[in-house]
Amino acid sequence: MDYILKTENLTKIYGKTKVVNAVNMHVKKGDIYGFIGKNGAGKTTFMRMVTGLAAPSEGELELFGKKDLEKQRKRIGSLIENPGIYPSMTARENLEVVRRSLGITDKNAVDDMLKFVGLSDTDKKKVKNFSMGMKQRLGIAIALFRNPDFLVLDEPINGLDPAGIKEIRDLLLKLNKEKNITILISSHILGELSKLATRYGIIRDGSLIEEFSAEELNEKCRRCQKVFVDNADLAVTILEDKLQITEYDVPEQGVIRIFSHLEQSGKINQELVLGGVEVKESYIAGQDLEAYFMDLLGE
Amino acid sequence: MINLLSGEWYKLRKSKSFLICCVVIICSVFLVYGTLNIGSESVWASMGIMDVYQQVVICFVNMTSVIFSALFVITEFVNGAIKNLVGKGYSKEKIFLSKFIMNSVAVVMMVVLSAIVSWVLGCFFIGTEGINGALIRDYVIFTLLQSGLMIALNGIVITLSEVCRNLGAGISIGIIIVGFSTLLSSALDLVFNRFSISFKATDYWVVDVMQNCPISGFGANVVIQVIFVIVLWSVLAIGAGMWHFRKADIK
Amino acid sequence: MQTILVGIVILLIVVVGILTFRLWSYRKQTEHIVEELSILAEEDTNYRLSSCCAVGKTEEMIQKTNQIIARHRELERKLKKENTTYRESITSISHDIRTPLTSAKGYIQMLQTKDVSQEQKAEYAAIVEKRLDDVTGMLNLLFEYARIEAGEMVWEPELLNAGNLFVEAISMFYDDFVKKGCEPEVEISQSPCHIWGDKHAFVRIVENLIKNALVHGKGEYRLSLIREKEEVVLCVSNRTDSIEEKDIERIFDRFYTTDQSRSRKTTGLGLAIVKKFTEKMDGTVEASLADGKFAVTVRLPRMRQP
Repeated sequence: MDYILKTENLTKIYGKTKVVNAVNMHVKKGDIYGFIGKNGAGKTTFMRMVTGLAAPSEGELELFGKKDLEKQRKRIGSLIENPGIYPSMTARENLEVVRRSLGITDKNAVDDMLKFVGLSDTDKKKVKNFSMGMKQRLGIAIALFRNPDFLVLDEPINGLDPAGIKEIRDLLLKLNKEKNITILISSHILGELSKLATRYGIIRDGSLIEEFSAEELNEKCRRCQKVFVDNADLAVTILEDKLQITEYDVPEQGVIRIFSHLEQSGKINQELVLGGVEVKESYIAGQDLEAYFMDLLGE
Repeated sequence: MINLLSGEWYKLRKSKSFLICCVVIICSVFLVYGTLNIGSESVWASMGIMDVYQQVVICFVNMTSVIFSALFVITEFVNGAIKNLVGKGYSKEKIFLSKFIMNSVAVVMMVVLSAIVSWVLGCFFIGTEGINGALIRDYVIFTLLQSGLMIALNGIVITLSEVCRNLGAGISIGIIIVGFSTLLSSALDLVFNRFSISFKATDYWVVDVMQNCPISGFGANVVIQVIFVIVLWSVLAIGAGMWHFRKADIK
Repeated sequence: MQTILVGIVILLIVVVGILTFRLWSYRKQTEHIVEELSILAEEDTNYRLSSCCAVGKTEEMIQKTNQIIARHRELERKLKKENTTYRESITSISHDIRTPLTSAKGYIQMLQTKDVSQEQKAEYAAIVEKRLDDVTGMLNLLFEYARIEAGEMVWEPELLNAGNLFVEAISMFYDDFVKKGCEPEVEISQSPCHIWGDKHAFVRIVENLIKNALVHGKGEYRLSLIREKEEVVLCVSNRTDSIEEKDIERIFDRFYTTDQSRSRKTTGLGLAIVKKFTEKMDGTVEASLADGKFAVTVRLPRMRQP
């Protein structure tokens, strides 16, 4: 398995609290991994450990399948909380500082990057006069500066207007497709993440409670006809023999979810009753992504 | 390493606070010459360029440099720019060292600036009569020694700033060290004296050595002692700084 | 005397210091580059070399190496993309060929049943023949394209009367236009239009453009051959609801079919062949989409009649 990031029991203890508790995360190459959790659940601390800003108290961390983290971290670009920028310098000067510090030899790299994020006409404007969106874009420019293979973004769309959010979303999708950049992005704006992510990780009170792919999520939230019966076995037989329905599951006692033939729900009910099954309740359900996440997060 | 330094140098060039510090130093030279002028003729007779220079350095340059150093380091943490360096493939020690080196360069530049301005204004105000080979030699040696002491002093301030990472605290600590640490060392001397220990703290504390540094007749003993103090405190500061920076998380 | 000596000693120390520093820098820089090259060598990565100690011409060396790396990466990417496109097109072509053959087989099976009237037999036979013609047509296009790519086409350039050839080609398709119920608007320049090129290729261009328009277009056909000062401009346009703006830039790519026209009638090679032939005759071809009308314009250098 090509894992860009793999953590094993990664833990961070501040004082007496386990802010991050034995997290086992798996980010595959090419993923856009949506990291979801409430405020204070430990997302930012976890990301700090991944990028080397904080040292783990326990557990192990593997990047690109290797353990020599210092060397592999050269391939990571990150934007954690606020971008690290000098307010009294212009965007160009800020990027120039980064260019020199990281030893990037291309003198045109700064101009190219400014053009790429759309900040090329800010010339003399000092960063402290930038709007929130422009600052975020500068932060992303810094994160992208060294042609990373892995982007770690902590709430990058925080404080952006809808147009800005769309821009970032398009940019991230493009980077993922064209340059094969794997992205770990945390947010609590579920709607946005659901448009981007290929995998999800849910964190609650410091523990990673679930990890699943976008397909699996769609599976779980599929539209179905939910039927509450007294005798599930008999009902299932009727479904298979009489109605040739094979796409169903029985999540709990007395509950059947039928995924196909949704338009024939009335006929299904009829057949079940005729066959001797007591149908207590029957309706079309489809769990909305947000509801599913809220459930998991424990709202 | 050199690329880190290059980044820091660029930052220094564009830094407004450095410019302000230099302006303050220039003004302080004027100030000192100004106060001398108010006095009677005889005061001028005994005061040479050297004395003015010494006054400028031990009263103004050290205070200004300390405030500058605190700012230089703490703003990195406050505006988050330190995140652009840590975890990007450089060891924390290297990062700390590069900041120390560039800060030292800045501070030495301030000392040299004060030397030049004092000299120029001295020729203007006092005249060029007393200038001879010995004076020039003394001037240069004094500049070198004070530069070293300034590096050591600011090294300590940088390390303490890195630990506290708070602007107000850092600047206060710097000012207190420059202004009041000599009282503490004198007190220690009294204590040692009381217990008949022949060790004198004031001989080895940076700020004291800076203030007691002679302006002529640099004997071998004096020079060696000063160099020892410089090396001692610089190494301590760098060591402690690197150790702490390596250990601590970046919030 | 002493001062001069001291001065010389200091100078020597400084020089040695500088030289040692440079040596150290070169060494550090080389170690750094070696370490970074090891990342590049083993992995599929976007990484580029960085400098750790700028000394001598090492930065320029790094810069130039990075340019090579960037090119290499771009090629890698293109290769991957081409492989994916190639695989997809092989799949779609085999599907495209299989469909009419399956259909033909079905009709043949029906022909083999006992109670089929003479009329029906004739009808089915005609359908089977049509299906086989479709397959033959597709395979012909495919082989033609393959030969063009391999440079194996026979090319016999001569002076051609573009106008005449154009009219001939249109008349071949007249029945098809009638069947579709859309008579095309035709405009041909009165004065003679001559070009220098291969006759077969030019006819092909016109045929492919018209065929494409018939298959995918929804009406309002306009075919024109106009003589301009230095060029002969051939334009085929029609109303369309299956082409979008994003298709325009890729429409001449081989095997490219629009999302909507996965209607299994095309190999996506028609326009690619048009482009190849046009360029071989030193011309240009352009596609445009405006107000729901799709147009392909071919410009060829005009020859003055001797």
